[in-house]
Amino acid sequence: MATDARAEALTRRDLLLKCAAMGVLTVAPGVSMAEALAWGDPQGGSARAATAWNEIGPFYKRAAPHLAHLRAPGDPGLPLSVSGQILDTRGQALQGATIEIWHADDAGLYDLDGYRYRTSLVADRTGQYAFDSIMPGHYPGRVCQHVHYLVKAEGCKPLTTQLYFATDPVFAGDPAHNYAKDPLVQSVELVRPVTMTKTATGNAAAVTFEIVLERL
Amino acid sequence: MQPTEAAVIRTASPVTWFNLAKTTPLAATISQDHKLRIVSLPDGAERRVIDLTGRDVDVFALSPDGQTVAIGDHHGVVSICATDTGALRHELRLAHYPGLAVFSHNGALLAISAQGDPIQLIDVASGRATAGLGNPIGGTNALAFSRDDRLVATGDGDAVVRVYEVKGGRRVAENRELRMIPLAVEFSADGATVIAGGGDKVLLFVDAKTGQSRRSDKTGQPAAALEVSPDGQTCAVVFMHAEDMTKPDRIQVMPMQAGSAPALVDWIPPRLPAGGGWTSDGQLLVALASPEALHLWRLR
Repeated sequence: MATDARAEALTRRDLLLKCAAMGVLTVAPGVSMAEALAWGDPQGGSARAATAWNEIGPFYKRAAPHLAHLRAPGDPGLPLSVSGQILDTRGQALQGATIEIWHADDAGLYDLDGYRYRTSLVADRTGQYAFDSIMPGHYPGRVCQHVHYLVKAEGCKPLTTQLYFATDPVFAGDPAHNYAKDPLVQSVELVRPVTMTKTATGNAAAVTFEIVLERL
Repeated sequence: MQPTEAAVIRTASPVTWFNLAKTTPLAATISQDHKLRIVSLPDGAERRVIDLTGRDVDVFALSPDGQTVAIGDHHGVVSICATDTGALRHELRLAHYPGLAVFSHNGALLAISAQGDPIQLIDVASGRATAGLGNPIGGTNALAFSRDDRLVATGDGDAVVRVYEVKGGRRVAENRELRMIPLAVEFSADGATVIAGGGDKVLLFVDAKTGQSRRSDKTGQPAAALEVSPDGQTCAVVFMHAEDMTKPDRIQVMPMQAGSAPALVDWIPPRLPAGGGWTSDGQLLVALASPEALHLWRLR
């Protein structure tokens, strides 16, 4: 029993490292030990690259309401669900992180007078967040459809960034080659795959966007 | 006074940016042929051409005396050049592309930052940073020096107006009354008041010493640029067409005193201005570019 208790006290990462040191764990060619350590670990716990910065833009508005459902009945535009996890660069989930989100409506217009398509969310105990909205339109003068994020968590550097959609016609189906068509897109990692689903009322899009914050 | 077309300057290539020197009849332009030109006004005679081939310019500033120009590109490279010779005086490398570049009134300092990063005040003579201005979330979107160059006001990404001492960068005041990012800031002529405007669609007048709001005037659209006239009596406001920034919106000249006095000038230019501003002799000039010429309009 004492041996089992000690094994439970080891983190999964420590256990795998110990196994590798003992020669009972080997990794295939082309797989790094860091990648092996990350597999199957729901809390991460391994080093991750910080999410790329993107500028805040002119239309941030503070004190947005805490709403998970931004889409109102009858709103024009493709229904969109976004979910993800807020982590730090050590892979630790950031419970209580605040995620401020704002984007244009289906016609590409921002609501300056009120808080349409603006929210402030709080990550749950596993760092998860989610919201329902609509696919933003193209703001005139800006190349890509995008959703703005401002993410803050205790002990981490605040991050402003933007979420882009791989289905945006601007990318012509190949974001890896075409993401720089919008000079403000600083990393292809910000262009996320879109899952199209059919619902009782029509098509819908779903996107996962994980955010990794740098530790202070 | 109705705006009048004061000069038409033929150009070799369509002008995309125009910067006016305040105290000397000079301007700097950047054109689609990737050339920066220093031109005299109002004749438009070329004084110097600097080749910018291969550089995507994000910020562009001309010192008030027309002696120095700063160009920041999308790779974060900032070049500070002498306009009389075109010689590179200093080159700075930022973490990424810059968000703004503003010269002090005496031309001795350049305020600059990578977009989203803290502002640095650069001594133009040495090319070295003399002070950093805070570290607001979202960086700084707008900046102005007081006329005596002792204070600097910022409109920051966290929707706060801040005032700093130029010497040392100590913050002396802040105002959190706005909910959206101030896109334009300016000092009154005596430096006692900061005017800020942006997505809140107000012009907020802030005490530069205490940060307290003095008054708030509603506007129809967000202010995108503000500049107080040399005599301190009026303020030119360039509004942003928030629904489509590619379209022009109003340019107004407002009396500085409190009250509901109508705008002295209220003009929607036929296209987006390439630049403009007050000259030290009290003319308000706005440059509109056509494919073959630069049209200088006089609003005051």
